[in-house]
Amino acid sequence: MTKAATITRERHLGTREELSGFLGSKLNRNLAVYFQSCQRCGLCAETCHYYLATGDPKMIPGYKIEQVRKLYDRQRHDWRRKLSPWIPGGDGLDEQELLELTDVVFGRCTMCRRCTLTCPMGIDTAMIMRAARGMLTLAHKAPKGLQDTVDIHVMKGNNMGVDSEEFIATVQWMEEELQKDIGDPNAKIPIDKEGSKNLWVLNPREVMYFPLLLQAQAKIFYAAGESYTLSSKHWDVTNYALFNGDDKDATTIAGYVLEEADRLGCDTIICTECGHGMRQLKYMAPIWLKRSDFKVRAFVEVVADYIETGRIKLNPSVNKERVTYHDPCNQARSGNYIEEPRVVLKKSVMDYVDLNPCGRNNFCCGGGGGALTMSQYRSWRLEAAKVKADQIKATGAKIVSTSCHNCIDQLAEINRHYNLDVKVVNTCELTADAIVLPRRMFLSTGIPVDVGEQGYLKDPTLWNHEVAQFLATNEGFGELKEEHWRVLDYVRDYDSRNEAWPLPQRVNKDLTLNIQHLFPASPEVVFKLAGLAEPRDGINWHEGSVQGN
Amino acid sequence: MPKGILAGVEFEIDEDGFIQEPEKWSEAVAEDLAKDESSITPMPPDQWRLVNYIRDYYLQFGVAPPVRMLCKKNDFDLKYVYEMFPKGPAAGACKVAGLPKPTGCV
Repeated sequence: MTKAATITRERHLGTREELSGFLGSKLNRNLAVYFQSCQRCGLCAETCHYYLATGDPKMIPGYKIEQVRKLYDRQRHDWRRKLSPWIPGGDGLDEQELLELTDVVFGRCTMCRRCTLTCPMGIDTAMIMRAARGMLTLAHKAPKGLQDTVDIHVMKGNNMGVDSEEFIATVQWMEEELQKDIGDPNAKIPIDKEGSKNLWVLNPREVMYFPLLLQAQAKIFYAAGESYTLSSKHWDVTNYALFNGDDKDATTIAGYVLEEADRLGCDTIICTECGHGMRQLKYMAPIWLKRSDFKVRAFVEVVADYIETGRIKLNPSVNKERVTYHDPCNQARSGNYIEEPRVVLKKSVMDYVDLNPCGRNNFCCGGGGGALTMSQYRSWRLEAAKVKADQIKATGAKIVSTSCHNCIDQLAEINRHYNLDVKVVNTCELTADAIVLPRRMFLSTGIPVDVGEQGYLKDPTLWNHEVAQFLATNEGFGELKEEHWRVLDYVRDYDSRNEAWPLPQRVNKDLTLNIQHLFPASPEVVFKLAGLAEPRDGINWHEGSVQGN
Repeated sequence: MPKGILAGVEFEIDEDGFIQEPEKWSEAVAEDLAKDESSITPMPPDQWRLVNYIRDYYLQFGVAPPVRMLCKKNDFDLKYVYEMFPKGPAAGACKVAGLPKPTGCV
């Protein structure tokens, strides 16, 4: 068989000296305090989903950070090292010790930071884990799936190695699907459109395997009339170097997106529903890249904004089943997006219920910290997910939604593993389904004509026979005949003279016909087709005597 | 790496169920893998068409085909692809075709 393309990236293997100096090199004020300040109080135990699911004391966050702190202490203070620095060993860097540490910091912590909320000293476990992960990455001990994801991203510009041509073709495909879905042949999903306000960045998973999510988000942008663009070059929001602790690669990857924001002149980056992608761009990229002249917004934040400012309208009755929301750690706990998803879901679905606990206190799905890329820890990952499975069961929800592509896959696995029998969806899918779009036609001259929710023209001055026929088709009529036109012309004329609408009997009498036969639906449809303005406070009938004349 | 038996052959299989030795793949192996992945087993012709397409593409280009190619080149509707392999093209169809686990969030 043909040799499959393997990832061949030359990466430097840290020497023993580099490795033993690594934690020290990452030591900043925070890390120094965290190493010193654990009181061994054990309050963190019951915050950790690994501990709750297993009851194993080695899963207590305090124990896990102790492994890293001990290593640091040994490298700095071990008496054997001081007496005989030329004899190897004693620095915690023997093969077996490195493998054990790998299992702790990659396999038994999802860097979800739930323990940090409870810790009286505020120890940021994720920061300690990331430092240790960085050291292990330098020692080539990072799990292969995670490292491959970083390598492909650095080399190919996105973490699945999708080439630019394929990316554009997929976006165009979804653009066509969007046009069909909403009935507007001019709907666009812009690529490389300079001067757009927002740069929209995606998760490669959407492009490769779940493109309908692109369509869902584009539909929301369309309804809101957003100014945005994709980049054909770097469009990947993810950054798995956040999880392998390699600051150099993390900086390169975050730089890709910023490069494109600069090239296209976008001052804001809108992140697809990706927890860590948003977090790394919003909170880490300014540090890595030493710049803060850009804004980063989560998709769910943007949608909440559209709803609150009336830029989009939603009809929740299309989503009748009970829906719950899993707060992605990177978005809720580390991003403070607590209200936004609830604003969105309460307007998008009929029956919304929170998980307990939720928001800032929500449990990790078990897939955080890049866990899904590390196959070797799958059984631990699913075991620890029991906490999440129980939470979901307790809500009685039929649909679990979340705004993170990583959580989605873990939730889908939990669903199968624990037989939850729920549907797992992205939040944007529920919103896109509930969107009420203004109906729109295009005149042969290319001018768009919008129809309001009640079926009246938004701009009555645009009325002509072409528009009337479009409205008629919309209401289920066939081609309008001469008698129909007589009625419409009469009604328009009457309205302009009296600033009120004629009673149906009057029309019948004056035109000697029966509008009930011509327009069987309801008399109101005549006024819609005639292009009269929508009566906001009830219809103003002209009460002049029908007999009188 | 754990071992497993597929169609009577011993394989290295990762914990997510992806085989590690693509050169040992055969149709019988695919049918065995399909037991957990395909909506119907033994796989009907459309499933086979998809699996063979993915495998040929992988052997030629060294990467998994995007779902756009699966649809366009085989004239499948996107929804139909998800119906055939409920876990999706990456975790389902690619696994049956003997590909390694894709990178990224899958």
